[in-house]
Amino acid sequence: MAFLELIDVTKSYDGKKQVVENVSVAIESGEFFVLVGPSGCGKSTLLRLIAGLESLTSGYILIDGQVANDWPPHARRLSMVFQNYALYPHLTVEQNMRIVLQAQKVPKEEQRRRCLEAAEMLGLTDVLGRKPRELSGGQRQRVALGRAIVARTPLCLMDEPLSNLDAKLRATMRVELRRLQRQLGMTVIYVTHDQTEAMTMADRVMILRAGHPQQVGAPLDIYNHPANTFVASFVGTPPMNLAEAHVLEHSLLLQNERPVRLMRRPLPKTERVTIGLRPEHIHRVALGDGHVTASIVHVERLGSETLVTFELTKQIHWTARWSGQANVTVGEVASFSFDEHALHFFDGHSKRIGPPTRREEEAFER
Amino acid sequence: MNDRVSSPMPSAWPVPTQPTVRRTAMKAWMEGMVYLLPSLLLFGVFLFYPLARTLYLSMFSTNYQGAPIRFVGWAHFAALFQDESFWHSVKTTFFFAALTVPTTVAIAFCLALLVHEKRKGIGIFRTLFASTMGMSVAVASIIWMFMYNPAIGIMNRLLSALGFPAVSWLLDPDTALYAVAIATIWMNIGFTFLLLLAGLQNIDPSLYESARIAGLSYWRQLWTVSVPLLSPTLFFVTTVSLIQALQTFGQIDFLTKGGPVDATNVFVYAIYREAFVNYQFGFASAQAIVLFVIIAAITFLQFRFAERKVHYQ
Repeated sequence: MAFLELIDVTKSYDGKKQVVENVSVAIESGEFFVLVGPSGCGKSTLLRLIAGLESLTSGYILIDGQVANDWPPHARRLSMVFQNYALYPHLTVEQNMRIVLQAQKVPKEEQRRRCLEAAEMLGLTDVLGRKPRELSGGQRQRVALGRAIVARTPLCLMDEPLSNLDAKLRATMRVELRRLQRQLGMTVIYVTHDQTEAMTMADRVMILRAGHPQQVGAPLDIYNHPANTFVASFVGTPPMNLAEAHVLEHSLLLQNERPVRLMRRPLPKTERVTIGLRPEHIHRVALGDGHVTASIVHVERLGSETLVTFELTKQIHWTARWSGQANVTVGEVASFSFDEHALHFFDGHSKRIGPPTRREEEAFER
Repeated sequence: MNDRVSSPMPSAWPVPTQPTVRRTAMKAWMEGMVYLLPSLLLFGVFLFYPLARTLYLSMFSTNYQGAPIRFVGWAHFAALFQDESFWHSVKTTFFFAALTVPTTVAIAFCLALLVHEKRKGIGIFRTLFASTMGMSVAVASIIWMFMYNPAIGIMNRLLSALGFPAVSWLLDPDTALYAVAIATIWMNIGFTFLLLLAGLQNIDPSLYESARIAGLSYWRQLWTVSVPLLSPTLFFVTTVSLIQALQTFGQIDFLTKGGPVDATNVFVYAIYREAFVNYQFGFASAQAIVLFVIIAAITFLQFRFAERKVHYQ
């Protein structure tokens, strides 16, 4: 039995526009589940519905197999880490953590013990007596986490907890959060708009767009098999290269102007498709070889790798990712080859077209 | 290495000489004064000059036009502290403040809590509760004068409807101060309510959400979130209301004229009578100075002691 289950969860504030629509998902105990999507996609609303801070318009929320739609927040036995941390400014770090336990009527000794334990875990022992305004951003963030830890609730909800930290600290906290979650065996539902956080932290990810779930799955599954063009372009940096294409006999006509001949894989039967190719599947070949020859419009050298943007057509620029510090210059004309088996095809509704069946492959090879 | 870094500037750089420094500082000071001039002028004409003039007058005997004619030094003050009616008006004023200030703040706080939440039509109630703010003391006093009228006033009608005997409100020395206090509370609620509501609206809603998730009851939320975070506003409205209460004049003038039998003869009204009824401008000025010192002292004490319990964010 799933630990937390959402069935057709729908929320509308005005009765017309659905902020969250028909979300169904089962979350297992001990899972690190990430809700990710651009801002305004309804991910925070979904989290607040689970917390009981908002009421459902329709659908069910099941906690431990029981319908929890009408349970008040505290009856759901969860903790929540807010984006702005929601620390009480007039209370010390310790009081901020203990307030949760006071409400649960935990004995004083036990309160103290749990606080010290959490402080130890988070490196807050020296600042237990301080007020939030005397702490750094990272420390405040950890106090908010500490509150979730001392509560010992089986489920912890986190609403963009790292978004107020600087990039470096965020990277460290990602690792630390995940380590803590494993150590404590907490189930975490984590909201973020940052796909890197989603990819690096999650056991499973749900990608939301305008209140609709786009895809649920393990990060690499989603990366390798995006369900539609939105997911394809949302996950991965730089995003997947996309282009509209006409499917011809053995080639594709990209954006009505650039023909690309494919040698190693059958093409879908659909006439008009969108093709997608991740930057790491584009390689440089000798001039005149490969799939396309194009001029380079931008080069970003990151040290360990180089991002090369070239002009597929006037409107569409694609980016290739090469390891190492490639010796290319802007304005140079180069030839590129594609990993044909890494090509993704999406239909007219931007839905993924499945990979060719065994029989299609065989027919192609013959 | 370190030595070189921390060594002083090369001597070739121009080091400002002492007079230059003083001249630049002087220039900056002058510039600041130019910016301050408009407000300094206004304060000077309407505040500093009258205060200085009052202090000056308090040491003189005056004629009927208020012109100083004889220097008496601190004699007015000495006489004042011997004067029983002075002490009576001090007591009345403080009792009046004790009646009005806590009650106003408490009621306004409850009203603010009531309409804090977003509900349909809540704007109507917010406007209603704040509406007494837009009423002048004169209008409000006249409304209450009619309500307190022993024959036709609604207060006595209500009492008789409930089976209580009639009360002569403003005419009875035992009830007059309470009656004025009730009217004053009503008048001041609007302003206090508005400030407290604004303060409540300023509190981060996620603090309440966090409290709800933790399972804090409504009363616990009130005591652990609302009151401490509202304390700067509470402190402000208390200070302002207290100063206002000590300066009460309008409603006394309209409703009771300090009577009956001096029962509502609060400090400022006493000063007014001394100056403009008895034409004792010097003596009245001395009282005004005493009032000024009392209010300044109380406000200082409030900031010194009460403000420590306030949590600024």
